[in-house]
Amino acid sequence: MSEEQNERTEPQRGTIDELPPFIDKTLKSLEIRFDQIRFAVRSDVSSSGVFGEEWFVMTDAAVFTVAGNGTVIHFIPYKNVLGIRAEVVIDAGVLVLESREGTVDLIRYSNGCAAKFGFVARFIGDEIEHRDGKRDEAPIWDYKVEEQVCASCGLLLPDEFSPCPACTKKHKVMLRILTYLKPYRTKALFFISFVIVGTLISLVPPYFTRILIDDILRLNEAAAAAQVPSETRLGTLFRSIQPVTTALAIAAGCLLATMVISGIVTIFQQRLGAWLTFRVAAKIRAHVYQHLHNLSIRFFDKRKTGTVISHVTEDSERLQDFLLDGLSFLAVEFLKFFGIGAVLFLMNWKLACFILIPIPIIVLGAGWFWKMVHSLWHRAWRRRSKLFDVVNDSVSGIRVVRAFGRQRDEVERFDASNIDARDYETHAELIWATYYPPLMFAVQLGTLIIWYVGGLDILGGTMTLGTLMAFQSYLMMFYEPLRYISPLINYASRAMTAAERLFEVIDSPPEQLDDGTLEAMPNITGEVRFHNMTFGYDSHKPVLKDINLHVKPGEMIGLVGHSGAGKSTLINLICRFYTPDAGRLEIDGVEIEKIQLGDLRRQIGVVLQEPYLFSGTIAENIAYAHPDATMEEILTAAKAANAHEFIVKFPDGYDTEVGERGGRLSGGERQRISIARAILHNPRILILDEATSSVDVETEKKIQQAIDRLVKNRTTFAIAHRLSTLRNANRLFVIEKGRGVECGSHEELMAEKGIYYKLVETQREAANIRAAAQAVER
Amino acid sequence: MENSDKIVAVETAQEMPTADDFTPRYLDAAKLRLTRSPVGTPRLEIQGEVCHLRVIARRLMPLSNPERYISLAADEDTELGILVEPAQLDAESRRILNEELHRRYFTPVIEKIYRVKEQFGIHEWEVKTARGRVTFSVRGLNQNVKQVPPARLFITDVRGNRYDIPDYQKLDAPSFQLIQRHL
Repeated sequence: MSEEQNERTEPQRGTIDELPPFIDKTLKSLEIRFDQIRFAVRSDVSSSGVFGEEWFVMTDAAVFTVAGNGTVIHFIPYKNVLGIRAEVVIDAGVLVLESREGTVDLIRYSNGCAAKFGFVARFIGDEIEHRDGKRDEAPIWDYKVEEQVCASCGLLLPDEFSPCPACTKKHKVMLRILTYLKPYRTKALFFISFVIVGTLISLVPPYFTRILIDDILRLNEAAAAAQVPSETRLGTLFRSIQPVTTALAIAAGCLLATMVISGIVTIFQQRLGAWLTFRVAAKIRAHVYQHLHNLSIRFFDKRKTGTVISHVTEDSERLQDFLLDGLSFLAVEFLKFFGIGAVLFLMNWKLACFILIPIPIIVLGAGWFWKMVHSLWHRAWRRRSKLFDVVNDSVSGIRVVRAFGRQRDEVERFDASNIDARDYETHAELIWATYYPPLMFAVQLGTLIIWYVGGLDILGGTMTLGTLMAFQSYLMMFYEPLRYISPLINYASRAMTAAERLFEVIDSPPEQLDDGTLEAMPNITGEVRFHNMTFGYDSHKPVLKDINLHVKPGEMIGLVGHSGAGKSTLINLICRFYTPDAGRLEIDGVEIEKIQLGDLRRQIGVVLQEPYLFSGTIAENIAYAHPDATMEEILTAAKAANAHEFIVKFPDGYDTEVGERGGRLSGGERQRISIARAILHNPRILILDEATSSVDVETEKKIQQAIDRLVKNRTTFAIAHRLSTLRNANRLFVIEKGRGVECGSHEELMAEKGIYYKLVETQREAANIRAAAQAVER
Repeated sequence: MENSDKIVAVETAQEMPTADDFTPRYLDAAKLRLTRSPVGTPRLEIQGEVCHLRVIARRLMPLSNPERYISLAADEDTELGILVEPAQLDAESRRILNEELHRRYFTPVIEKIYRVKEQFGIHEWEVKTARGRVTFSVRGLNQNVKQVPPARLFITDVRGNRYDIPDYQKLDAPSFQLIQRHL
């Protein structure tokens, strides 16, 4: 084989990772041509367990691994391979190979590579079974590349759904907030004009001060004053007015007029500002809340409910406060700063140069200060959020706390968090208190310089007292924004952090992205089919593996297995709270991801172990899926659910308020209301999750009866620990450690004497013991 | 009828596992010997008892007490017993046990932080871990940095890898400052 022949070609199966150049030499030494390579996978952990490059390569004849320096570590002829599996260890994985020589750790990898190695192990495993005749079908190479990088800029994306932050989040948070103003463009423009007018008016009073001092009040002094010509045209005009008292009255009148106008403008500006602020804040809040309901369940898996609640309420409140007080203030002060700056330079540019001296100190200091308080407040916020979690935690479990007499420990736990929050908040405030006064000193330095330099000018006769007085008043106004910029920064930084977090919620991927390929399915028949479906809450830890099940419309399937076997996960997938990692889940022959969520959910009904009732009346709860249902429909549903009988006994009947989480009703009553809700919902696919647990025998009978009515003509998936409740199921599907191991009717499975048989036997024994215990008591 | 039921039930009750199965079994380090098969499979011999090929070692308290309380199992579900003090094993056995633990507990421990760069809410960390130098990216620090009181931090990167800082207050000053600034 000559060197030229070994050209780089696409691997036969397809590229998982592209082989690096250094591997060419290794291949040559092994006498392997590129076209013999079926696929290659890169790992980020070396065989010694440290981070580094290592390769797993499969050819037609062998599997082998190559270290980052090109040396071959394992080389096993494919015919000797008996089995392969991806073993999950803590925060990593190992590809373990069973060969004729024994078991060997082939390659190690971090969690980041777990998905591809998991796929490889499944594929090779299936192929070996096929090769050995244990399996009919050859496995399908359906490796899905999870694109983690933005297509346009190459930036690493957090997950496949997220938009590229570099390409979409170009605007800063503030600009993004301002985009919420768009619908109120006209009002916003008015607001801005008011701000400008207000700023211009605020420039007038010092101007009159100058005239008052230089041109009017001085007329009463020595006549020498008249010898100096007025510095302003208006001043000359005022000088011509006689007597001086009239001039004074007119000047005072002008000042009054400016004050009145300024007041009116301020009223309108603030009214408009408030109106706009609440609109924007409410819109962001609505956006976040609406998005919260569209988020995939995964979002909530990762976060505590307390954190999500604090997101929406606290953050939007904080943002709103800032928008209301801070933002218009910021806009006004910003304009003033530049307006007055211009006036100062026009009045006396030499003097104006001196006011610039402290500015670099102020700006740099404020910039440093900004960064500091931002991170400090963020940390304090996190501590407070944690405190909130602690409260939530122990109050939710108050009964358990009391039962175990752990009140004092809970209080201690709270205290620890409380003190933590206190310390961080104190620290932030201390930093604030320490560095704010020096910043103020820098601001006041300007005034001091002007008194001295301007004073010299007056003594030298090059400037009038009026000019200096006016200059000083302007200067106060000029520095005012700088003075307030520090608290504003603090304020703004807190609000921006809050806004960032709100946008983080908005930016999280929604449950379903409508890319135009979704199918509308208003009438589902209820055929459900799992095809080699694999799923895990973490993609590298599969909870369900290779599930195959075909459910005919109207069939009732009992899901059986030990707790933790994956029954609830299967149901979560049917509800499409999650999507399969591999394989397919089809409803009426359409892949579940492709069905419009609204259509799907409308036709799936759930009766859960812990029925969740919303605050409202019983009637409202029954009609939850169809709020416009008639009283007759509600009655029919309640009757069928055996709920009517106890509802009529309540003093308020169907108008009975159920209270928070239905606390005023017994478990069996809540259960039956939730069954009535499902009956009224009239779903094509029904899910029953342990509907009869924790109720007395009589109630259980009633509920069972209601369920029997409910499941009629609907595709039903039922989970029950008590196998007797599944007696009506057409077929039972037994799940063991995430795999579907048995499927068939009760009789078939009993005859098989497998896992189901054992489960039934165990329960029978338990039932016998219970019966015996009761007999002894009697 | 009721009587016979009762008898059956009593018998079943007697067949229930004895109390011994519910007490943890502590293994005597002196009676344990770990060896490796020619291909490297860890083998456990309990003297006077059995020999288990491919034994699984799991820490019972991987965070708070990683060096003690090791559960040894024949497979995922069959625990052989608990070894409280692995230090009492003979040198060879201890070495193999440590290798197995090293294999199972991958979580890299961060020893030094060189750099943390933030861009668009993604923090890029360049760190030195017990398993070598590595760079990783974290999105949304709020969700992906978990603090275990008092000062342990778990950082999960965008690829699902988890990194451990057992006590961030014990890191060197520059690393500590980076943590302070970003978390």
